[in-house]
Amino acid sequence: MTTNVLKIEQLSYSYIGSNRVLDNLELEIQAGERVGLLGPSGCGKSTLLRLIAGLEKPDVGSITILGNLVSGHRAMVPPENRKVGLVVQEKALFPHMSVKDNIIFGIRKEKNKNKVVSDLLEILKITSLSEKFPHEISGGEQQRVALARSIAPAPKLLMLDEPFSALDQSLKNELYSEISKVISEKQITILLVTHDVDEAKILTDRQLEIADLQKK
Amino acid sequence: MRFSNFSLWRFFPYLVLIVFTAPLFVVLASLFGEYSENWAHLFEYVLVDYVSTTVTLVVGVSVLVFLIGTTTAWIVTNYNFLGRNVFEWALILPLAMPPYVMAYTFTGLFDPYGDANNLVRDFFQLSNETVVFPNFRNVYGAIIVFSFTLYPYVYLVCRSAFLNQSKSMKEAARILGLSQIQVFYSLALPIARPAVIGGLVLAIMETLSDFGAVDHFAIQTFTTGIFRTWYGMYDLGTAMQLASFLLLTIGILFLIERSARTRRNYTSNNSSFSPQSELKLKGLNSLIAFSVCLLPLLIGFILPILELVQWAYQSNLAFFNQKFFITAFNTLSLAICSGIICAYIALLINFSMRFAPNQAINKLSFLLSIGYVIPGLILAVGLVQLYLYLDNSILQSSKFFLTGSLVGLVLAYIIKTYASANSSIESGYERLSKSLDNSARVLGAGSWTLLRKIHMPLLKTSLFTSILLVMSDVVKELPATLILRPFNFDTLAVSTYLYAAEERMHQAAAPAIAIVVVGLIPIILLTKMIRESRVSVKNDN
Repeated sequence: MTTNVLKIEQLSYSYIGSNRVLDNLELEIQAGERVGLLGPSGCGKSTLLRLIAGLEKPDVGSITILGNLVSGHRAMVPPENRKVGLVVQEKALFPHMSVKDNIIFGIRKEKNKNKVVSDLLEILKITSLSEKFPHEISGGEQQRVALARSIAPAPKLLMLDEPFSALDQSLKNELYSEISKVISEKQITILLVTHDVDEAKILTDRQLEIADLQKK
Repeated sequence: MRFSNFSLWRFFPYLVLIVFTAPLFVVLASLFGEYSENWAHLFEYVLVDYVSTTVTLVVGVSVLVFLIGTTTAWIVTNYNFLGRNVFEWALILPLAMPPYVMAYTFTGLFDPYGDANNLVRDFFQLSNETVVFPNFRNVYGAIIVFSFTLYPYVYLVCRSAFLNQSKSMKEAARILGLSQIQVFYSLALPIARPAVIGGLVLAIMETLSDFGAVDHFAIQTFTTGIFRTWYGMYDLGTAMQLASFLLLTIGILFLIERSARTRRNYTSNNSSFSPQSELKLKGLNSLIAFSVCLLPLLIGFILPILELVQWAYQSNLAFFNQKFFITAFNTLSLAICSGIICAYIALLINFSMRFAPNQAINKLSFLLSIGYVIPGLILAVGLVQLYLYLDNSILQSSKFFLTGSLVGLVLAYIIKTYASANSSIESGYERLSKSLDNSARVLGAGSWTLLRKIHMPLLKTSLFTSILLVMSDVVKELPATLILRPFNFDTLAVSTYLYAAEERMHQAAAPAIAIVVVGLIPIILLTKMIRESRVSVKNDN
């Protein structure tokens, strides 16, 4: 039996003082699925991820993660309790923490945190960087750290918001294969937002246009 | 969890806002109370004096501060001359000199038997009756004192505005027939007008707030009037009503300054910006520029410092006694305590406004900084009334009293200096990307974890700067300390005031020097920013 990791129903959202950016959106993602969300700039892809993460509150509609209503009428579970991961283009690494401490941040209370971190460092080939600070490593390495940090808490859904758009093509190709490997090994459900169709085809099994998800 | 933390963060700024503005409402509420028979006396004998002297003072200070501030800022940003690199930061040094300390040193220098008169008499072998320098103990002396200690407010904003004005814009004006001087007053100054108004209003508010200098010169202004009505006539109600009128005037100025600040942006650069080029001055022109910049520095900082050092030298440093060290310890303890509390309140407020954004508090947040423009005397009047009420009601059954307590005094300092603490924390937060918050929260960090593990380590420097700025303000604060301090508890400012009131200037030197030294802390920080600003303007282009 397949499990619904994410279910979005009749979701609408508008920024204060502007038109609706998302209107009556419906989306379902099953466990283990890799979904790519495509669309031009400004169509609301990133906003959708922020809504799922709990960083924004929808105007109407509901978001359910693993059967639990997290956003909806009178329900708003804060981001820290949603068990989702989010990797963004700007990486947002904590500049005052080493690579290792950045990855530990989400699992700091867990007993096996050191084991999880060393495994991730090894899988993503960044073991030698563990004591370095974000400003001491390259953009590609920073993206690997951001990915490791998001995977460490074993999120039920990992959302990637155009994580590779600032990288050059050779680095992208290298990261695609590594990430595909990690995702397969950890059996993580993925929601990738991108405007690059080729990237979506490489990293995901199902590609959707955000406009098609909105019922008029 | 359903955003329960949000309510705490939403509630906190409102709580602080209520505490910070309560003394002001207490003062304003007096306008609706009874008017005592002392008003008849005030109307008949002194009120006209209070108003006319205050207006003369404000007009005089505005004109001089405008002239000194704009001229020096124009010269250091547009010309390269002897000592320009030093003047660029040294011109803000008078900010470290509280007007009351300068007033003490000026009477010490220019009174008929002051050091300057004695020096000139000795040098030219004049008779003892000859008085060379004019009397400073009047409103014109006060205008000089305030203008030469407060002009840096205009200098700082003008320098920044001039630095951001494009070279190509000025070149176009020159091609269209304007001389260098015309470019200054018909182009650069009008463009910098909002900044100039903002700086001027700050200087006016400081002038209206002062108590120590006008009291020393025995000038009848609103602040001395409030003090005399309270302590001379023992009529707190009338003092509060007088304070209300001053408070309303300052409120209007505060709104003007805020409006000027929001319009200040149009002085900044645009896409076609090209940086300043400096005209190299030689010979007489260089000497004139040097003299124009030296004069305010000489009057506002060097002369007072020389006089303080002279007093210290004459007393053979005997003032470094036990009393001085106790006073310094009292001041430092209060300053550190207020600095830490104030900085953490500013941190929590900024955090709450970021973590749980709320349009209402965003719009009202400027009121949190209003203590900065409220004269210490008015704040003290409001707080005394508030403390008396609390002591006689809520705190009556306890052994704790707010009136005349250190807690009450620290609260006054926090209200008065919150703006200084907030400026540093706010700019620290502006540099902190929101995506860090988002990442931390998605990774399971709640509000306290976000604050403790991410924001506080990243805002260490801002917190430290904030504490230093508050400390410097607290050390200088005189009227609120004078009124709210516990019995027999002296600070450096109070000690200086009391010695000066008894004309024991040699003993006033030690605490006065200590105040100036602490006052230099924010100046050093500003100096660093000034040096970096010119580099960054060059690098940006």
